Amino acid sequence: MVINTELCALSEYRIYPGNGKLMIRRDGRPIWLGTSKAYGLTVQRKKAAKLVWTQAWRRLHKKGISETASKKRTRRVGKVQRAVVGASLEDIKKKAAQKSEIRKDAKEAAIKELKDRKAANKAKSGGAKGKVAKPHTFQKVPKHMGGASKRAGTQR
Amino acid sequence: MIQQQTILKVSDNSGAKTVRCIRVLGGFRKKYAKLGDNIIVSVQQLRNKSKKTSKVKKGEVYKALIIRTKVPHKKKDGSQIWFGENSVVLVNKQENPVSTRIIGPLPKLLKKKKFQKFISMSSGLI
Repeated sequence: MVINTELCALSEYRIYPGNGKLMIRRDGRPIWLGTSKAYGLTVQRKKAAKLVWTQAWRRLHKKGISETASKKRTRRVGKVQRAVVGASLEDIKKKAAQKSEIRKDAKEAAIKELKDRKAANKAKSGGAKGKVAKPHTFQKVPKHMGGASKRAGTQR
Repeated sequence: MIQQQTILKVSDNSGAKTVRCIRVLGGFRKKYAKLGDNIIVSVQQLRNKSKKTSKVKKGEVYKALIIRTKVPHKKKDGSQIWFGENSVVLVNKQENPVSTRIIGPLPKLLKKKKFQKFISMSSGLI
């Protein structure tokens, strides 16, 4: 539940419902006064900035500011995982959970494929330009040698 | 605490500047009137600017509604409200406002069905 409170014009303390006095000046400006102390001092035309116990004086002399500043510094923004366009939150989590090796393999495979494709493209374009390809020099493959089969070693 | 012989300010554009209370209404032997009460007044002084165009004349007797008092008005919740002046708005016999405009703010405690006409004429509530 939110309670509507006013601020005392002199001390700047909160005024809860049922407390305080509302003085309205000739010019129509309302002045809330929380206590008889505040009222008495206002009638005496005392300045809030010259009374040590008021918030105005404390603000002027920079009291209690360092605590609030240090508190602010500790506050940090936490990282939040969120779904990005085209990738849901689950997909992202799954990818992050995968082992680095698998990811590395996948990456290499992808690069290899890309290279192959590039090479193929190059060959095609090269062929179209009419570059004379070197005639294949067939190496004479020796026919089955008798000794080869007899050789001991790898058997398939 | 408005009583007989009290001089009050008139904060509307009827043309009167000050009035004197000549009777407190609302009961037998009622001595004092407070915020929101009706009284009977006689016009004492007119505003200089509106002397020719004034709706009222000096010495005329009117009813009046008290809208601001110097004496603190105690609200039901215990807090208090008071103003820097005693002022009224002139009304006719049927308790409708004589003027068309109210100068300065009205207190929120006049926000009742009875005072609806005055609220709509005013510049604001406090």
